[in-house]
Amino acid sequence: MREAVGSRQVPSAGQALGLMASAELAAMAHNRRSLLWTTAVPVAILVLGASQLHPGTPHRAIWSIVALASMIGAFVLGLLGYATDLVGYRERGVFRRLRTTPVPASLILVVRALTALLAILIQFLVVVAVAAFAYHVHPTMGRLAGGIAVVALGGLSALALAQLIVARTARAQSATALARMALMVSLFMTGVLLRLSAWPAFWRHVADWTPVRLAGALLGATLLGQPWSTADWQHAAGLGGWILVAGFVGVAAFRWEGADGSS
Amino acid sequence: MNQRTFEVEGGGAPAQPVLEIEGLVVAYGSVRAVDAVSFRVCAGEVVGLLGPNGAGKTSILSAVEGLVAPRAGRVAVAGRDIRQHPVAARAQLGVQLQHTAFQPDLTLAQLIKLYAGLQGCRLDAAGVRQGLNRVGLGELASRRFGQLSGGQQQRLALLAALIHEPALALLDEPTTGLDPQSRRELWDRISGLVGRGTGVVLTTHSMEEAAALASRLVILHRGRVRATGTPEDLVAQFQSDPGVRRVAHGQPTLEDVFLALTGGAEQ
Repeated sequence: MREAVGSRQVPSAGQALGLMASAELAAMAHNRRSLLWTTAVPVAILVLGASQLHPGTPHRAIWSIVALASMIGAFVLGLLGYATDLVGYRERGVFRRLRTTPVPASLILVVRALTALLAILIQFLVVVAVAAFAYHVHPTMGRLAGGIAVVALGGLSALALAQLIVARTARAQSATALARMALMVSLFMTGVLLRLSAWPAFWRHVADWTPVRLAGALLGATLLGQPWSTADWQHAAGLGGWILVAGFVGVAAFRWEGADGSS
Repeated sequence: MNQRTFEVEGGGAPAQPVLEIEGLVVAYGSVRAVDAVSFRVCAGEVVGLLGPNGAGKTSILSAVEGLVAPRAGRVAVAGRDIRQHPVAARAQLGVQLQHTAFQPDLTLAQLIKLYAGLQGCRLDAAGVRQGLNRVGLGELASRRFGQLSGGQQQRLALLAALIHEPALALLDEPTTGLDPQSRRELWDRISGLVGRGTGVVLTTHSMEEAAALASRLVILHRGRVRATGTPEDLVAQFQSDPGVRRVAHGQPTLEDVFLALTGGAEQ
């Protein structure tokens, strides 16, 4: 039962979630310029990647680039956006202030994750729209819906890694540094910086099982409309494993208070 | 004007305690920041916590806010134990933290709507504007928190703490960084709030502020209560104390008593 305080009533978890979500969306709208720049990253990867294809290349190559670009975009948003924002909240004392209200402060983590996921999905739809407009590839509604589900899964893996960074860092500066490092490693693993074919077999295998590659491979298969193969199901299981392990450790090790007592 | 005498509207009945602290112990590792502290605050009363840095003032407030778990003792807000009924207790609180902390990308209107809403107080645009006007920030309603000056941030923090008319307001050094005009305005707001029956716990380093606002003072040193009483009582009680005589220049003041009790005179 909710607590009544005079004429006031402590908001339910759903109402508090709505209030916080509306505030976070407003903050996201204020920062739309930075969101636009972040969305430009996967679009630029798509355009650059597609420009290297020969005319008449099958559509599947475009879809592979769309998948890779979208997952890189998801990791940019998840790692840099989510992790640095949350550590910034802790450093500034926003968490401490929220914890003095009667609603559970943990809702702010849920809201931040949901808004980040929303941004990741919007970004994916922008990349698909650019691909449809510029390269005349049109997914069916079924493939698009499947793609959205896989992007959400990939986005969750990025957020789980980001949560791990939030749990392990006390200051926004160190969170940004660690998030950038994780992003560089992710980019490296995608083969964008150095072609994977040039890598030793062992490292290629390791790269194949990183979250960004797993999500990219799954998304590519989904956008192509292929039924998932055994390998795809293994990739999905691998991605789920990353989400569970990184998410669990990130939440379990999370501290509201910074190292110096800031929270 | 004596700002320390407040009549609770609709008064007559004895004021109810809005904060009861009994034998509170707060420890960080082996360090006891608060050691067996007890006091209570009634509706319509301002209790000032005085003490040098590290005396335990903020730790006491953190225990009341439920941000730190006491090692021992009991804290109840408006009759609700903070550990057994944290939601009910926090619903009665209005909190201004020592370091003002809000989402920097939200506008003032959005912040007030959010924090009032989290306390169960639904405000429409007119209500938000009215609240901001009361603290002189009406013109800045669409400005982001991160763009405000320190004094403006303090005023917003106070509004966010009090907009839902809490039973108990915890104000941690609320006038730090304010100019004299803003400080006086804030004192008036606190007086108005207390007149409507809110109990206030105020920490401050300003003896002038303590004397102007607080009906009772609790002087803390190294986590322990050294003395309690009205400002006048404290001066009368300790004016013959050798430590107070040593630091006093002429007639002993509240500051002299504070310095003598907290070891400031020896430093």
